[in-house]
Amino acid sequence: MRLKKLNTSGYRLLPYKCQKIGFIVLLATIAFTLCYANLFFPKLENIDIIRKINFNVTLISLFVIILSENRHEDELTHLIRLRSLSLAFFYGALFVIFSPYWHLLFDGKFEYQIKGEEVIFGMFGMYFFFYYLDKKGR
Amino acid sequence: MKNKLKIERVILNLTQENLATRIGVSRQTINSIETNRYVPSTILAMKISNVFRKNVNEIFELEEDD
Repeated sequence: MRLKKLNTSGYRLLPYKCQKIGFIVLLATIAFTLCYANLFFPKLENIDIIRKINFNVTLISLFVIILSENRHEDELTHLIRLRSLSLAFFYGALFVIFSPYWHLLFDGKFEYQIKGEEVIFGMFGMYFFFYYLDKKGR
Repeated sequence: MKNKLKIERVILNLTQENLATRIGVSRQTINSIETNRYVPSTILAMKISNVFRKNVNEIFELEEDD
């Protein structure tokens, strides 16, 4: 896949069509999640592996969406992207630092093991939240 | 930084969308500049000044706290 160089920021992003593909894959994984959870595959033997793969595909599709250009990519979009990435990073750092104490406070046990997937998924979620919030306010 | 982008745009009878298309940015970017929520880069400021055939300083003006 050819990467396109942006003229002002110097970093490279995937073309806009990758964002569309990412959204399609994301919707497919959500649909699959709903199906295997409730309707079609209630008692498969390898359901944990399927869940794991499905979750990883979800993460990949979110990652592709984040790394893809918008329809109108310009310097303001770069700024919003940068802001959202930094806020997502802060969220990730705070989550890792305070999550064990959060469990101690509300569940009564000290959970010192944090899953990387949870952190990454939360960071992606925060990225999208701040990105679209900032874009919508313009 | 203050700017007279909206005034200049109205004088030329351009919409935000028209101006955005001319300089290759989104309409939201023009709106953000006009409402002082975004300070454009030098390149973008020069592109804007080229459209209005004016000096950059005539459209963008430094404030005391800049």
